[in-house]
Amino acid sequence: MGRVFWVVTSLVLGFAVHLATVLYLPGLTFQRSLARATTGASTNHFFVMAPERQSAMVPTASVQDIVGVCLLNLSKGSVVISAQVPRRLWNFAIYSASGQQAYGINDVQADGGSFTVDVSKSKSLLQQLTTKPEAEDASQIANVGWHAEIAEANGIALLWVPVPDAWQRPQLEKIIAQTTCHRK
Amino acid sequence: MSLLDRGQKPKDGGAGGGKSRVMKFPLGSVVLLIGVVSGYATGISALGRAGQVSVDGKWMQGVVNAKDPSALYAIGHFRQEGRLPPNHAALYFTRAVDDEGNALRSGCSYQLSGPQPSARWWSVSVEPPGGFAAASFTARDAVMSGDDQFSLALSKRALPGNWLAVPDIGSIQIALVMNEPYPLSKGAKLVLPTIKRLGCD
Repeated sequence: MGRVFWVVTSLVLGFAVHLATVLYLPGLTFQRSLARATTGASTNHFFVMAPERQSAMVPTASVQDIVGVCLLNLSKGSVVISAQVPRRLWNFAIYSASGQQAYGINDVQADGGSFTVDVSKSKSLLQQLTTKPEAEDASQIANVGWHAEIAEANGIALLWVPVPDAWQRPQLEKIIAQTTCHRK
Repeated sequence: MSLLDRGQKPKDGGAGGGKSRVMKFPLGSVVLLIGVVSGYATGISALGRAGQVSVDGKWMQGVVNAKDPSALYAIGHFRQEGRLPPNHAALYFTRAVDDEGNALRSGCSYQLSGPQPSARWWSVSVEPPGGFAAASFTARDAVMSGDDQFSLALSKRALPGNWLAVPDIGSIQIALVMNEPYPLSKGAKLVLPTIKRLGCD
């Protein structure tokens, strides 16, 4: 009986440690990497990353590309991103703090030199049950373009633009740097 | 509770003639330690394997399918490396061995060749295993041969044609990123480049 107790305890503890390792360790490592890559950056503020830092955080970006970032903090309400983009290939994505890609749009889908995305935190099940129906809220939504929701209060918005020629980089950076990210 | 409590009492009169000194291992602590270590080890191992699918036995594709129950592990794999998972609009492949199965090293020269990557934008990068791009060659740098074939030399020393300068970082892996890939024609299969070793220092 005693042996069975310890074996079961060991299995339960092993499973708990396994889950903790899988759930929390990657998050801690990523937060450290993010802090290094975005040193000094405040939340809800758009900036262009240093080339040597962007590939450390974005596996699909090379050092030649341009990557703009906004660290989203939706705890005090939704955030509006007004992106200025060149009329060529680019990609915009929103990730939740846990790494899930919640939103993606490219130059073909946006069809223009600028676009706006309203990012908000999705309602929890309890909030959905206790707040007014969507139809009543709809009148309060400003017509700003696209709308994205993430399940967590924090997230990351990424704008990726490849550079066709090195001499075009300053010009492209200048366009992208006009992007804004601020609380609504 | 200890191992000694299970019917194995120490006897006097050991080799030294005095009282024997037997180290006591509390059974509970040992079992709990085994649980913690095995839970941690299986977690790290699962994160290391997740998020990667073998394409042809040599190229691995970084994949995160949000609908897959194992997405938690796949996302964790990239976050454990301090990176975001690949964008849904891109295909991300890595490779750590040449065509003969030898580990890629920065001290060797390689020839990467195959069909031109079928995407709106692509890049080939050299990176330390689990690290980030140390050097990249992108679609903008490439000179094509005209028959939809692409060839790229990866070496520390300058080589004729398309050339990616490899920094001296020891073990390397090669990452191929295809941003906004074109859809494959019906029945067609994605063919990824081969990597032939040309020589080593």
